[in-house]
Amino acid sequence: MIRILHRWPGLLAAALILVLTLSGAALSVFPALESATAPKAVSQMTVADLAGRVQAAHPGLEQIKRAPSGQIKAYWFESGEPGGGVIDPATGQAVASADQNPLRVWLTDLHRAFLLDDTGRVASAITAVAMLVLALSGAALVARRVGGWRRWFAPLKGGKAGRLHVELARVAVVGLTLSALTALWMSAETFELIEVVPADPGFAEGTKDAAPMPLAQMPALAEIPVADLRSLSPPDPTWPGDPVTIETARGAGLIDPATGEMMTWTDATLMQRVSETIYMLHTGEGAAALGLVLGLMALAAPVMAVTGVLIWWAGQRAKPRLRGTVRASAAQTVILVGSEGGSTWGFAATLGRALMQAGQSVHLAPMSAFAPERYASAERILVLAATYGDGDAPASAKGFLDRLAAMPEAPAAPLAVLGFGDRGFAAYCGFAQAVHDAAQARGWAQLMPLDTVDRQSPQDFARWGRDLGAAMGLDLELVHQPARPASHALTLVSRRDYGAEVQAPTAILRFALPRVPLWQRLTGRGFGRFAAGDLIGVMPCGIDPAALLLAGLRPPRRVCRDCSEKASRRAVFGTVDGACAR
Amino acid sequence: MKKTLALLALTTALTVPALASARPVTFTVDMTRYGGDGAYVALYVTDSSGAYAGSLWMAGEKSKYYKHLKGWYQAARGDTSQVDGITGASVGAGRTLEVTLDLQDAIFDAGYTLHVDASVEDMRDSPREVSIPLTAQGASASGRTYIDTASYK
Repeated sequence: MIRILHRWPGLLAAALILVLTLSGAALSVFPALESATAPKAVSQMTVADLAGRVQAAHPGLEQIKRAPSGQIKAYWFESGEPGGGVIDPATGQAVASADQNPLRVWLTDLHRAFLLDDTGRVASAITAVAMLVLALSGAALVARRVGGWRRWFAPLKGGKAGRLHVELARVAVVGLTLSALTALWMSAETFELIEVVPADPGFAEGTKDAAPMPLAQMPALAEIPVADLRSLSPPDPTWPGDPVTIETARGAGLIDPATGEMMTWTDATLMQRVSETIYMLHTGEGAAALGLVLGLMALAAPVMAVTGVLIWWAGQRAKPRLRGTVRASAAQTVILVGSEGGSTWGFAATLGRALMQAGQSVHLAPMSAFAPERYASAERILVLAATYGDGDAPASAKGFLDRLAAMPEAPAAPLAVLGFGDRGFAAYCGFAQAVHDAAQARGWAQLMPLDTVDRQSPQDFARWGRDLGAAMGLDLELVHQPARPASHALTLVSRRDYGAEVQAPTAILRFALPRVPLWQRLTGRGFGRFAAGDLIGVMPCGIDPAALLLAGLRPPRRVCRDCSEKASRRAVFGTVDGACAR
Repeated sequence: MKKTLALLALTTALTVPALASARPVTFTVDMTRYGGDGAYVALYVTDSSGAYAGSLWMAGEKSKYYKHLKGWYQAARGDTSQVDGITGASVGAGRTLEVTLDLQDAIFDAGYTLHVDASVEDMRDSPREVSIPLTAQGASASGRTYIDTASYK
């Protein structure tokens, strides 16, 4: 269920998430730039001081705005031209253009509305919902995979894409959840689902027939520190009695233009403060460092979108296309598969193919489709079960145990359980064990005892196949070849065998050092960097790779006896030219 | 005051079928290439004493931004119901806003003034950017910041 919640929003929204997170990450840089470059306000400066300086420099002053970053902009109208600039509060002079960065305007539009106005805003809100669902379901999946919330940062195993996906997710999920939640709040505000009533100073007319007081002398402005300022508009000279409008972090008010006294004042509402805080948490405006961190975390999302699609695609491809299976009621052998990533399906297909070649009719289904009442012709039921995380049921086995427990009696056809797992995990084949135990408890007849396959070992699987064949009276040879690891060709220089007389045959193989390409030397990959004690896996050609992979891939972890350097766990896989000649 | 209310009713109701002495008037506001998001633009009328008489059009649909149209906001006392039914989309840079309304003849050549306020997100507010007396011949005026020209006929 959780996987479905993760997979479909992810696949459907991947492209939109890509756009939103990339634009979001780019936007996160601006508040930091702005606060780094904004001229710093003189400490203890009041709005009266600031406004006085700006008004002295620009008598046609119409508005002063202070961004949460501390950047102060002023706008004026002089000699028939509108003007504006970023203000240095120390001098009141403009030091930079007030024009918005066009890239930022464009990115903002792309980020919140896909450049499509309200339609795009809805799409962007839906993407935020998808993001939130992905973050939460993803967190649950990570917890399940590593075996609980406390093991959140436990080391990971598995494919490259899957590992990268989870490694990024474990860190980025915090930022992505926060960004998605704050985005949803902002969308709700935009569409007026949440009503934020800002402080409204009401309406008042100032003294009409008196000369306006310079801003620098206004007592009301002398009480407000610059750090609190949001916006200040001097009176419109063409409009007698027009008040000074001021907005601060604490509220909004109107000031009499002639006396400089506050005429009306309203405190900021609670909702307004909440809304401003959420805005800050989303945009990083006023919290530039947080913005950068969120931006960095957002950058993980495009990678996760791509790896996520790759993981799904790999899973799709791993699902076997097995021809010739029959419906559940007609099958002599029912194979049930509990798989998370899809690799167990590959083994099941090999098993099914071999059984069909031996003349058996086979039905292949996920464990979640377990329906024993339909297995009318079944002579045996074979369960191939992987384990997810710490002994949990894998995705395709959901509900199996519940259904088994709810059955009035165990199926007549005997059962064989084969677990797939990794001995590196504490709960090795934990789910297969659980299935086995539950079957035993229900008194389900056993065809064979529980057996396991470690790390997709073809040998383990072939051995189990022979046992199964023996139990069925068939000659069953299961040859399953999982994906071969990438390998390099090495040239064998010499070989020395000894130890055969003491039943410990050992060979010393000497290989020529291959030519290492420059990029490998630079990146330290392949043969670009190795040290005494490193392990090398050998995949000889011409011999059943399944049989020899074992010898090559699973040498003892600590073979380093004589070397002085610490053994590294790095292994390099190689094929050995000439080894096939024996 | 009574007259003001009556006029307000006329102008905000858009259509005045009961009155024969009404005529269609087209208001045109050309925006400059100010380089920002869509502008909120308010068209409203004050009488000879400067008191608010009624609203003609509000370009911009989110009422929480209306306070940035300071002239309109103060004149209409922030009453968003003043623009119910006469609200449209905000006007992009370089675009033109065109509105045709049936207005009572009595408001022309009677000391009424048309005001146009404009504001753009994260940019300056521009209250009363254009103010033109309402006359029967029509009139036109240049804006200062966001508005290139505003006219009616």
